[in-house]
Amino acid sequence: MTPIDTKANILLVDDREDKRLAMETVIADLDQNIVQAASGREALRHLLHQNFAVILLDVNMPGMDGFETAHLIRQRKSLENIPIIFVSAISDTETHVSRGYSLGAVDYILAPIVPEILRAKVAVFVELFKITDQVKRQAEDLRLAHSELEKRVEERTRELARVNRSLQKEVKERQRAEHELRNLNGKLEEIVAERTAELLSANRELETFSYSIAHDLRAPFRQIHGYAEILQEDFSEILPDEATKYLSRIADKSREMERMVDDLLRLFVVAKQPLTAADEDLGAMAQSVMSALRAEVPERQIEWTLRTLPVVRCNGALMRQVLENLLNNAVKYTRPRTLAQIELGCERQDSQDVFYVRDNGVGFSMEQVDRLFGVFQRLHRPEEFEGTGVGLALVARIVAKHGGRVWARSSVDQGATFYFTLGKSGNT
Amino acid sequence: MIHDKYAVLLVDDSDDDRHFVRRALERHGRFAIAAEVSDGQEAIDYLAGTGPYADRTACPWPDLILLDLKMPRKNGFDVLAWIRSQHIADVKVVVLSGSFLEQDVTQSLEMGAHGYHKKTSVRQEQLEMASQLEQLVAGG
Repeated sequence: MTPIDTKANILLVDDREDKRLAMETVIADLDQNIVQAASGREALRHLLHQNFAVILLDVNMPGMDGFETAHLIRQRKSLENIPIIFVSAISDTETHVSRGYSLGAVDYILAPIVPEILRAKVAVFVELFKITDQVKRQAEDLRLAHSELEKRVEERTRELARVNRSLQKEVKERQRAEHELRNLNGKLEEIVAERTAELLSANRELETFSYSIAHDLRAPFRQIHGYAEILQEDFSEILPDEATKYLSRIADKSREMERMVDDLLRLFVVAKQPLTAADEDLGAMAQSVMSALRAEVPERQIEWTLRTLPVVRCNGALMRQVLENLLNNAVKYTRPRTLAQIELGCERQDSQDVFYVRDNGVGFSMEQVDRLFGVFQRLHRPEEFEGTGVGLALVARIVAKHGGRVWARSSVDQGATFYFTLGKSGNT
Repeated sequence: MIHDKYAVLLVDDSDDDRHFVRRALERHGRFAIAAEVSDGQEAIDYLAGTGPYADRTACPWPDLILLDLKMPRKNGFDVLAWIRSQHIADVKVVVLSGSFLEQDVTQSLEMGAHGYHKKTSVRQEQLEMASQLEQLVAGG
């Protein structure tokens, strides 16, 4: 804001110096800037260079009189509103006054001048000028502030537009990256699917290959065993004892190999064949398996316990294999017991049938439990307990094929319990 | 029948397996080997009496055919199909195979085989098989 206490200009126009002096004396108290002009022409010259709060204009001047001067002043656009106070000695002429007003006089002072009136009137215009000037300055300040604001807004807008453009660019970049990522992801999934298919196919091929190898090995193993038996039968009398002993070893080993291959083939067959299921009475099945096993070891003292078993939807042949293998293991590993105890039952756990085979046999250390269900994994020496190490792997595979799982609990010499489920879909 | 014994046609491409079967059947005492052939085509020729098998005195009609499944040229199933196509009823056909697959058993029986035995080198099992074969053939 511009300070408002600057002095206003007052223009005194009179051809007579004494009158100018008189008026100057009267308004000097206002402490403003007083400019004197001796003619209308000189007044106009001053008006070119300076702003005035008010003009005190003498009507009666030689040459260009007050009215003519006022007329010329008013023609100037910038001066059309400048206050003009006519000063006239001719007091009695009405027309004089009205002409003055028509030329834009705002006031009229008649001579002889009353100093208080002149001073008061001029003071009003000075005050008006100052206030107008202040308003103008404030308006200018406002205009400046406004334009500064507009400039800033414009700058900010430009900045925002720039940021926006860069953001848009970034968004586009992101979208492109995302698109690329999606593409890559799709490709990756394709590759994974492809690889998985390849692996599955390779796995199937490998298993087919293993199956045919195992299958082709069976005949020679069987034949070696066959010839060894023929040798034992037909030539034992003429063979030295040591040769007979070796021959017996050959017969045993080849028979063992044949069994291993047979078990391995069973394992492959389970994997290869689709699972057909029917409602099977596991109780009746277990009864039949137990009778067969009992007949195999008539010399053994075995206490068999068969709890109530449900009817279950499963593959009968495979389920029979599971029961046979688990019960056969129980018979085998209770051999050192004078009285073996073998129990087969079923418990309801979390709305699922959990089957178990429990025995009081030699058991095993839980540290070895991970090896239990592996192919050709054996926890005992063949001299202690015979077997190919495939039986439990076969159980695990069959149970898995039914959507169930198998596990075991035991400790050395404390018997063992094998559990299995047949999956939710396997229960009726 | 050959000298009151059941005449057997052995069909197997393995000399060794034929050897074990022949020995088991001879030891059993109620069987005589009429002929041994080593594939399905030879079996069909024998039964048809064509080519080298035209002489029925030298190549007597068998009471029992022991038939392997996996053989070159024509396999066991081909022979079963041929026998059925010829409406041959006066002979018992038993498959003797090394195959493990349940579907081989099922298919054999569906195609007209009277029995199915797995090849074994265990003497006891061989003798049991011979007894069962005797029962089958004697049953008419």
